[in-house]
Amino acid sequence: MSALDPAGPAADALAGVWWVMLGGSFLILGAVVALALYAIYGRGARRSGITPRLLIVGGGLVFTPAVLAALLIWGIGAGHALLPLPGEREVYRIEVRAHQWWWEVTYPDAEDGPLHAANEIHIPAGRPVDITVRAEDVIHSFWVPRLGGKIDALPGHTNVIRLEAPAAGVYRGQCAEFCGAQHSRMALLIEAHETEALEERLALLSPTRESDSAEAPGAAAFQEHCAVCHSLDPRTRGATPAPNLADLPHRATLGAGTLPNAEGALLRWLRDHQDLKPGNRMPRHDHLDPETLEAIANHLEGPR
Amino acid sequence: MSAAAFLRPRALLGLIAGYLIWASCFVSLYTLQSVGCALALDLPAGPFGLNATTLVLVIIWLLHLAGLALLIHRTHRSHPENEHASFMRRVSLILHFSALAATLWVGFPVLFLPPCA
Amino acid sequence: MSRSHISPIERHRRLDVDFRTPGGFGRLTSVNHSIVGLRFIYTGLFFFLVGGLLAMLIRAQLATAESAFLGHAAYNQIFTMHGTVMMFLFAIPVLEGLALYLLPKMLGGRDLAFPALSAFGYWCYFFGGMILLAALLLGLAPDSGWFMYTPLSGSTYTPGINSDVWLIGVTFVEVSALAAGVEITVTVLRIRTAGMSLDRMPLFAWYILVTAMMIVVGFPPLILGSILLELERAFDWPFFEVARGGDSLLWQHLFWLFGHPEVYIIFLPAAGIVSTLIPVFARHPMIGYGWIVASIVATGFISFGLWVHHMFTVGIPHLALVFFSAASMLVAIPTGIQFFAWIATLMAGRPYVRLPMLYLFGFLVVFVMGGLTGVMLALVPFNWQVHDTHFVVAHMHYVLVGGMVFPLLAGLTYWLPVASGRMPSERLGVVAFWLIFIGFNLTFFMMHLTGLKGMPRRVYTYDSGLGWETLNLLSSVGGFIMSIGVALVLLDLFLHFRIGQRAPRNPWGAGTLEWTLPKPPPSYNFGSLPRVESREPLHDTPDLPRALAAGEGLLAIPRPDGRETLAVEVVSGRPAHIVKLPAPNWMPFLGAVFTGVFFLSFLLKLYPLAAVGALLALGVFLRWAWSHGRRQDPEPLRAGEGIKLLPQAAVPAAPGWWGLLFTLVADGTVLAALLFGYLFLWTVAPNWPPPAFIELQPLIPLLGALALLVGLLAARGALAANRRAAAGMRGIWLLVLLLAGLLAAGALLAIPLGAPPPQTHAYFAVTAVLAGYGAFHCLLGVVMAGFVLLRCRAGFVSALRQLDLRVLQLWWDYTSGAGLLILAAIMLLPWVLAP
Repeated sequence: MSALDPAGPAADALAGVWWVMLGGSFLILGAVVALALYAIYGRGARRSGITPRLLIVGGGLVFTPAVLAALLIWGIGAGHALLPLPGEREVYRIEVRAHQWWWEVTYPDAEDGPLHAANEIHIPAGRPVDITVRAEDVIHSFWVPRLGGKIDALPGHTNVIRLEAPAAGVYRGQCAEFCGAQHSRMALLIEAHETEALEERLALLSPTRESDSAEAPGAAAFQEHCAVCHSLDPRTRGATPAPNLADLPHRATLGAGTLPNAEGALLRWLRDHQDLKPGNRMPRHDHLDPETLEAIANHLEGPR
Repeated sequence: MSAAAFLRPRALLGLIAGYLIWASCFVSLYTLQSVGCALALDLPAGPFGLNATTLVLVIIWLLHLAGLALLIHRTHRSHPENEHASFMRRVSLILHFSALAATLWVGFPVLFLPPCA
Repeated sequence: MSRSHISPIERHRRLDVDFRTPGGFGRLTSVNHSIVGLRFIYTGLFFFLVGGLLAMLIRAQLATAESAFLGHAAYNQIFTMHGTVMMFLFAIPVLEGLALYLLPKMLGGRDLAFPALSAFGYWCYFFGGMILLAALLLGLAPDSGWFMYTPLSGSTYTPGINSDVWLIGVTFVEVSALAAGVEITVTVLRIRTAGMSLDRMPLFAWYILVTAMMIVVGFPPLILGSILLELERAFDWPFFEVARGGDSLLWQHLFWLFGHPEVYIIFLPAAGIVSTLIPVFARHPMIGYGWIVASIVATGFISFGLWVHHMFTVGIPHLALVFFSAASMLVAIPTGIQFFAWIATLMAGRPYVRLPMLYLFGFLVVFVMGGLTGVMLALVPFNWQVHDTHFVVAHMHYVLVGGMVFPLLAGLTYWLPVASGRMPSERLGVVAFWLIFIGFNLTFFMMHLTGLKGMPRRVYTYDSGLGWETLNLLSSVGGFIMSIGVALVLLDLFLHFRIGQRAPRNPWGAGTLEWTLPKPPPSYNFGSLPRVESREPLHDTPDLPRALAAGEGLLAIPRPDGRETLAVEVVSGRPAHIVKLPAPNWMPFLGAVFTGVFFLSFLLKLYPLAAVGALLALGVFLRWAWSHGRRQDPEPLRAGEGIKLLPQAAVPAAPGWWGLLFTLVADGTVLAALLFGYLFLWTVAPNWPPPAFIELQPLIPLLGALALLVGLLAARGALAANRRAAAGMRGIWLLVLLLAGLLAAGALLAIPLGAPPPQTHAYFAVTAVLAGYGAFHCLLGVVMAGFVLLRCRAGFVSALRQLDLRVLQLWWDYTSGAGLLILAAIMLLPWVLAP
């Protein structure tokens, strides 16, 4: 999650400038403190030839503006280079809608129409990705530090950020703008794949699964208790969007990073989600007996 | 600016006149850039392949710079009558010069950055 | 009136009778700047402890990953209140208090320009703070962050009272800040002693003057934002709701339009403390006085061009970001000049180190680091990375604690002897300093790294294994070390007032006037007012304390019920007239109580009661205004040194006129921010254009415009008639003004009343607020016209005593101009911008 362990051109540039600025800052701080101490304690300070004019003009009017001008001009160039402007390279597109407190992910260019998923974004490695970000309720901010800067998700506006992962791997992100009760538990994962692996992973966003036969004991319960908000079909967003569950068994975490999706985690989540992530928008399941919950969990997990 | 001008209450306005121009330039640049982009004036429509928004911004910027230059000229020409007035004149000059530098500083990116990207 | 010499004891007795605050419940009537200033400081320090306690809770929670100490609900209230308390209830009020306490003593006045106004401001601050504190204790505190971003703070996502507490409590406190802003501006410009020209003013006064002007221009956008958000929450007027034409970004603009200057409003007075102390401890006059004055003014302006650097990630075009990035870097230059001037002064002098200097050293190190990270954050691409992370938390605390708390502690230790007559303890103080310094750096230096390692701000919990645990634990340990240091400072203060060593008259060898006063200072400050020849009068005349007490200055013979001080010409410092200061009275307290009834009833949605509170407050203010002035034309009064001066009742540009002028500057900023909002929504908000535009018969706006013009002429006509001593004509003009004002208000109100309800679209809501703003000013102008008419009848107004009419004229100049602008905006903008 560290911006100091950058991956990709955007984050590389930002980490690079950080180290330069850090070094410069320590030099300036050291110089100012040394100058002040010398002014207070130095014996020869009054004979040293450091005149007030030299300090005010040399320090205040020449040195500071020169450093700032260099930084400003460099910053303008660096900022401009990170903009999602049309270029020569082909760009992969992703749409993200931020909700209290999860991320709705859409692959708009998937074959046969857009695919919907949640809290995980799968992208090709070594290719620029434009992520279009908006918010469905309050303001959130989309941020994957190892890949680059952040962009706010606002209601009514769309913003685009360009990121690029140089190699296959998992990059953690988290909501950066305070968005209410569970701002802390609003993580997301970006996973970069080589081309074929990406296709395989996206194929898991499939509307049909082996356990989906009507006889599956959990299917009816899911229809009754969950389907009002949740969909198992990645082709539909649902009327009141809640995380799409099509590829749930293959996700790394549950509850937008609240707990690892390990053996038994889903059942625990269904039972205790209001204790694990208090205030989240899913109602408590206290009215469901343990057998029903287990059946739903089995239904959702399918054959692992 | 007459000599006694530095002693009237309005001299305070004279003290900040340069920065009022700076503020006016800053607000105008920001507002016109937003309005220009909202009205989608960033298509090349002006001379030299410049788009209309950039052209407007450059003109606004130059006008403010000219205003500041005029202000500096007038302040520089004046003759203060006593130590208080001469203090006001000196500080006014520092402020006007710095306002000119500040206007150059914040405005120069309009010359080479696309206005709405 | 006696011209003869009176003894210092007799002078003290006569002055103290006039200036003293009564005991018992009479304390509530105090208007004395020393008492009011100290109340601000004590109350502010109390809130510092509250805010510090909240900080400790935050650090306790974040010390470990997945902590079970606090839940999200409590944590979100706590971090919101920590920011709110520290910014609004500690930093600003304490600095205001310091300024109110010190300014007259440094400028050579017996009190401020409007002592009753600052007393009123104190009670507003006190009651507003109590509303927020009560909410915290009841668990109803605001929980959307101290920045209150919509829509999170709106009624959909925060249905409870929490956001209303913030909006109403903070606005109440801001009334106090605005009062202090106007108070200080007029005091520094007019209420100085003879010969104190602008170029001889202590630098502290320059800093405070610019700060006060910044408050006057900087607070109105947030007050407007708060009013709009409260209107949205209470009455469903959609200013920020996207679906009905609002935009949450409008709130961010209004908030940071205030929020960034706020940082400099906090920093500048603290820098003023530094610029006061450095020459004293360097034993050398300040080098580069003119450069510093220019730097202060430049900082004041540039700090208004930075606000969007809090919004670099909201998706504004890069070019606009670059404007703000450039301005954000620019502001470092005047700050740098001040640093180099301080160092130059130290180099030129023979510095000696005492406790205040130690705190200044802390300031130097910490604030320079804050400034450097500030420049980093001004860099757009780097900001995209670290915005809203703990890096910013670190930066902000380096700037605010470094730029305000350390100088404040230096200033408190330095000026303690003025208030207490005792010296601060070096030993305990030094230990406390190092604990605070080390604890602070341990806490916040780590946060730079925590932020770079990806930890966002405002999270109540975090997972283990992300590399954040050690850094957070160190931060928490540092926080507790720092709080031990703060506790030692408190212990030191307590001991100081009990067993501190007696201080000599001028313990640090300073040259400014506050060190000429007896310790603790008498209620009236100066027995007689000095004539000042330089920036350091006490160095010119070490004998000044005795001479002033012996009556060798101006206004040395107190007139019965006099309470006099000097007003000077703004630039030259030549005595201009005599100001009569108010006696202790109930107006400030009662005015604030009724204002409090208004705010509290609004909070509890008891709107009729709120209206009653507002009317009662208005009544108190009018009664107060009635008590001023006199019914006979005054003669010029002897001021000493053979000078004769008129009292303010007979002066056209009396402090009251200046006070209104700066109040109108604030008022105009509200209108400017409102017009900005109107234009912003029109061009940026997604759901525009509105379903329909307001279509009016041209008759109503034309009638309104005509009435406004008549009002403008009538107010001027009344003033001109008064100058000719034509009382009959004056009365007729005032009656015309009354009618024109009512007509203009009616025409303005007719516009929203004839339009679809404000709830339907932001367009109608903004139009209604614009029209309401104009109508409100017209109606207040009508009340003022009626009031002045009665004052004329009662004989308070003459050709010489024209202040009432001058104030009325200024009000109507503004109201007419604002009203015409509003009509133009409502009628012409649809015509220009509608597709």
